[in-house]
Amino acid sequence: MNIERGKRIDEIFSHALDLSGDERNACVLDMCEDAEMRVEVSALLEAADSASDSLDKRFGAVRERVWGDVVGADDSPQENLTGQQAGHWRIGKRLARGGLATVYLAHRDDGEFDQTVAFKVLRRGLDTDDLVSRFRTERQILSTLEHPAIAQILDGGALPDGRPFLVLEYVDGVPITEYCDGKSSDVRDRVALVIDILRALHHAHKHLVVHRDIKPSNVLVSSEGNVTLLDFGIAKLLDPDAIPGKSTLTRTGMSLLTPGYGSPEQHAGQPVTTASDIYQVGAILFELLTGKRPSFARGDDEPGAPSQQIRGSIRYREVRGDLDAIVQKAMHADPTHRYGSASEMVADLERYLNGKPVVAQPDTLAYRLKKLTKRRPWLLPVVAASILGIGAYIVTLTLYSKQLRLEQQRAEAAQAFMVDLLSSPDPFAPADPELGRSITVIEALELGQDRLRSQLADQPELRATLLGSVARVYRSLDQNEQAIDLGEEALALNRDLYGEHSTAVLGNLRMLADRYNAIGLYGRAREYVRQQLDSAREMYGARDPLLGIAEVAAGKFENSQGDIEAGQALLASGIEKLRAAPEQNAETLITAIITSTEQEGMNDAESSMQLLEEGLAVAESAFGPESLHAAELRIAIGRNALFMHDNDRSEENYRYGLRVLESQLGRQHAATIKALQDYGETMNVTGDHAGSEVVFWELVERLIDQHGEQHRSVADNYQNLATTITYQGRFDESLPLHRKAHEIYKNVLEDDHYIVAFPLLSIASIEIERNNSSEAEPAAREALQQFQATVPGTYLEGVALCLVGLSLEQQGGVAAGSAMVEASHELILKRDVLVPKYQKLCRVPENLR
Amino acid sequence: MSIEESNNKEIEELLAAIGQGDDRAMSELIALIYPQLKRLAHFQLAGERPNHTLNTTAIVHEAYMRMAGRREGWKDRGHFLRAAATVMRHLLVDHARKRNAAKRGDGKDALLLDENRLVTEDDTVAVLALDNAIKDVAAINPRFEHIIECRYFAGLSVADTAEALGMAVRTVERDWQRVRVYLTRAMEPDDH
Repeated sequence: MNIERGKRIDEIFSHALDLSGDERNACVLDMCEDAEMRVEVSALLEAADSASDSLDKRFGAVRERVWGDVVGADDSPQENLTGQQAGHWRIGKRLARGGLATVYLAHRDDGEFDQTVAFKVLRRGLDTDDLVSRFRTERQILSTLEHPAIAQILDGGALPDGRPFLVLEYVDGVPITEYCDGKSSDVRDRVALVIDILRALHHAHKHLVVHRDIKPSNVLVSSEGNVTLLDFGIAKLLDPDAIPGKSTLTRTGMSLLTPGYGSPEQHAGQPVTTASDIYQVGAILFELLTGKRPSFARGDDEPGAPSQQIRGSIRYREVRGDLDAIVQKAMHADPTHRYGSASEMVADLERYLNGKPVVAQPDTLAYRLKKLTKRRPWLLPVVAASILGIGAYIVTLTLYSKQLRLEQQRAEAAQAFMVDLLSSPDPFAPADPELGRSITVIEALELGQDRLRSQLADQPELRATLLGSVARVYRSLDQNEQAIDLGEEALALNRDLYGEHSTAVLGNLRMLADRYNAIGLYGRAREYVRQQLDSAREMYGARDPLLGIAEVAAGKFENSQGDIEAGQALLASGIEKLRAAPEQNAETLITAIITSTEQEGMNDAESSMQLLEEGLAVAESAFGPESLHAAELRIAIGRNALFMHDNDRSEENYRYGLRVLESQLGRQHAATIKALQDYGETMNVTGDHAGSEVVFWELVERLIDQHGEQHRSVADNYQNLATTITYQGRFDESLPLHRKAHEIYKNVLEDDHYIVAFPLLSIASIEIERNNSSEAEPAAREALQQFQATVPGTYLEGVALCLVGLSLEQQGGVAAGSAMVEASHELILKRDVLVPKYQKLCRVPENLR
Repeated sequence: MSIEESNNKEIEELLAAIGQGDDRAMSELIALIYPQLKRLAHFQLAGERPNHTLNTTAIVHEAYMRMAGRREGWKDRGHFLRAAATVMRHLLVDHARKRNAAKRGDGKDALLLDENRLVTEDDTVAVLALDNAIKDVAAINPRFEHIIECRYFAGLSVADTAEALGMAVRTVERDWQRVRVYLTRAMEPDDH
């Protein structure tokens, strides 16, 4: 048909398409010049109506294939480097050829070592400037990764034509999925392998390297079962958009993804963080548990529970529940909901393997767990330390606060140690200063560890303790550094968006204060705590519970810093306000009540009890009588009841609380142990020594079970136990236990810890009681020496001095002895509440107070 | 890379010249864009997509992002997309011809296919058939040719096609409805 006609038909076709039904028919009739045209147009309209897009799809596929041919065909003839030499290396057979790089086997060829390696070189034609320079930068970064489960970069260089190559550890293994299938590994073995991957990943993340392409073919397992993670950071190399050193966020080009393994943020082309690696490990775990790659229902970013994929198989029951939760947490669509770090995921997997409750399970329990164990990390040792072999278990505020201060000073000293290390020059810092700073922190910690290891090679326990401190700093850095970075960013943003006095900013300030507190930057934390209080005062009315929350936060902080008066006032004020809306603010109200009564309980048991009862009512109605909150309150009530000399009520509540803790958290859980200790101590304070003896024996046994004998908490409880037996006058039984405590303390604590000497005080005072001054004196002297070295000028030194004096008196050196006893008074009086036993023994005059 | 070489011709000029049958202009345009497209294709292949296929649309988009910052006259995304589509068509058809000629003796076999025969191992034939059909379709309206280039040869969306051709989205949509019908018919065995 001729062109003019064709154009006309098209015109009519176009008009008619816009219309429908009668209008359309009318249009066709109107506009068409003749019957033929009408037929033609009608046929076209019909075809348009029934058109499908299958032509589009099919041609799309054709296009892609042909394109692949076009670019593929344009390649230079295959090169084969086998037989050639490059630096120290003689290139062997070709192992694999990828789109970007080729891998050969290679051997060292300088007669020095016998080493088989993998030799990886960029393909010809792909050695553009930016690719090459990224290759080099990455090599530097990757060379800092040293981990048994990471295929290490050994060397690098350039071929004569200028193309860079990498020499990598050669890994002889099969992909993890194949390995597990081949050995028909059971669920626990598979989980163990994933833990190995995560450990390697953790190492890399600490060095700010994100893998971005974790998939089974990149995780090889040798025949001995050793896991190696491959192509580490190579994904970063391949992505032309990655800017080296730009914080922890990277971008993966969409074109690189293997479907099914990429994280949602990768698929969306958004910045990628370490959380993306976690996601990918989650996907591997998924596949190992189910035998299938995670698949996604339409529109979903999350793959559903693994156990659902294997209903009817024997593994179903093993996977269902905890492992489901772990996988789903790791693969959560929102990166901030995943595990915060590889080590967190390892911890949860280990909990699973040990039959403990996992954090991945619903929030309420996880929250409570964290709450209970992290809330007052100093209290555990301090509680034990309060069991001084001096006879009184009076848990006074000032005593706590002083010891808290000491613990804090230690933490600060450790921090200072780290800060010192930070100023040492860093041989690995790449050009980018930002990256350099971050690597330095990590490097410094590593250096610190090395120094610790080499300098303290012959003091393993001391080394262990210090390494523990380093590890804690690590962990805090791990978990908190990123949170702080992001938090500060959010804070700045929210300040801009909403102004200083806004709920958003308030939330940020609180979170940041918490994190800074956790890593020991107390100055910063205080600043933020103050700010949030100031803001809250601006924003909320004088009676508003929301202001109460801010006051409680500030009060808790002040208490923890030792400023009890300020802290208590704030807590009281906060509680007052929160009372107006107890249901909505149950958590905070309960926390405030417990913190507040801990400090006050001794002094005013009656009003504390009222407060606690109020708290229990709130907890029971908000969380239920079998909740951990209620348990906590019951234990606090139990303690308080003892101060009111109501032993029955005390026992009832303690037992209730302990029961809940044991059933929810397990017998070995830190919170359960602490509560038991609490019970034991309080019974001692109120004189039920027989009862506390039973409890302490129980504790000693549980702790030995958990940690073995050489452990700080075991020593603490031996000491507690011994003291309570001493109280009952059974010195023959208690002396060996005191000695045992002392021995363990010496083994597990560093020499300059004051607690080491506590059992010595007990021993000295017992021997004085028995007129065994020849035994008393050396013990007392040793204690005195220890205290003078570690906590000079405290009443501990005073007591020790007094005991030395008394032992001298007993041996006949009355003059010298009494002089010492006299001299000790000043120091002893430094303590606010006197211990009656020592007051008497050391003849501290009443009226001097 | 040729991109780094100094070349002052802007795409618009090149496209205009190509529109007038200037073959040299086509070569220049290809020289500018193709290496980038190829490199991106390599990255995709390196990622080991299933069946070693490519995602052309992504390639075109990434290429734009990469090149836009570097040269004046490339800021106009629409121009770039149009250029990419033209280049891709040229390259695909060229390649298909070579391949096809190598396979068959004379390369003159039936290039008319119906829709069903597009599902064939012989992708090159499909490309050539489509290319052939374009002539018929373009006779009705010249801009149909460009639409087909954008939609089929570069895999651009309707919105991107509109941008590339400086048309309204609605117009492209309506055109596309008709183009598909014409194209399908043009590729059916001719029985009149």
